[in-house]
Amino acid sequence: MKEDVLFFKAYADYHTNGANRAYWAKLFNSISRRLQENRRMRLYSSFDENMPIYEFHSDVRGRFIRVMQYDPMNEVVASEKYSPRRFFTAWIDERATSIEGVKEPELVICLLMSRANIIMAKKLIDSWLFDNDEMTKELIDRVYAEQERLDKGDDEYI
Amino acid sequence: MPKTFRAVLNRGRFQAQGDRLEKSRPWAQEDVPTKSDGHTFLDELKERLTPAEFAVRASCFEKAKKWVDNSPQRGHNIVSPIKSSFPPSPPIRSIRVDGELYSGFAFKDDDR
Repeated sequence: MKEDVLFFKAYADYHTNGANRAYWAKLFNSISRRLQENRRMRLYSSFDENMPIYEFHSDVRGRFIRVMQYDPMNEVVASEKYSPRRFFTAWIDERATSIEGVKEPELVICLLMSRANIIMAKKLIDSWLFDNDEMTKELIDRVYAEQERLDKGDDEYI
Repeated sequence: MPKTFRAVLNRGRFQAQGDRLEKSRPWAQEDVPTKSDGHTFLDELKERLTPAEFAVRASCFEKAKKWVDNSPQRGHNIVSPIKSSFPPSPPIRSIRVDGELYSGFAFKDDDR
């Protein structure tokens, strides 16, 4: 497990946590350039697994992305009972943009930072910002199907 | 026209979500909710769930309580809405508990 997961000490070591945030910042910076817009984000000072590690808002597309991560050193994650790929999920939600309650759509991704999970996260982010919602929903359905498949003990990667 | 001062209420909600479930425990109050209040809100949300709905979210509630406990001493200062989600480990589709903070402050330390 340890070899497959990046930023293993993300919630135990401040430097690793910073590098982990920088990883997402770099990714979303390149997305901002593709969208030709100014980047807008919120960086939490909280060093807490339960808070988003990165949030992105696209003014051009009028939608949010919230990335949350599983702590690789968490008891359940580290138990190696599950494959790292099992710690990935996503859903579409709405997000209030102001106190007045104006809402915009939001893609939420919650993952353990394994290489396979990062590839899937990038596909979802791309689809959410550059394709259509149907494609994103289709990818999310694939994520859920993958969870069921892994729970049945089928570890063959698709 | 004279300007009137309107106090910003401390507003937010916990919500049990996923698999077509959407039950919430909102708050909007003048007093800043304490960490104990946060636990009470979560307990009240838990009471609104069926045993099966709660069973798959038991670890989500634990994570949400940890989030409340990890709030700053004076509580979260909500400059713009804050949203956090607590899916189970490992995740099951979109099943989760959400914590949403809309305005004011939330989860300051309890008065001694």
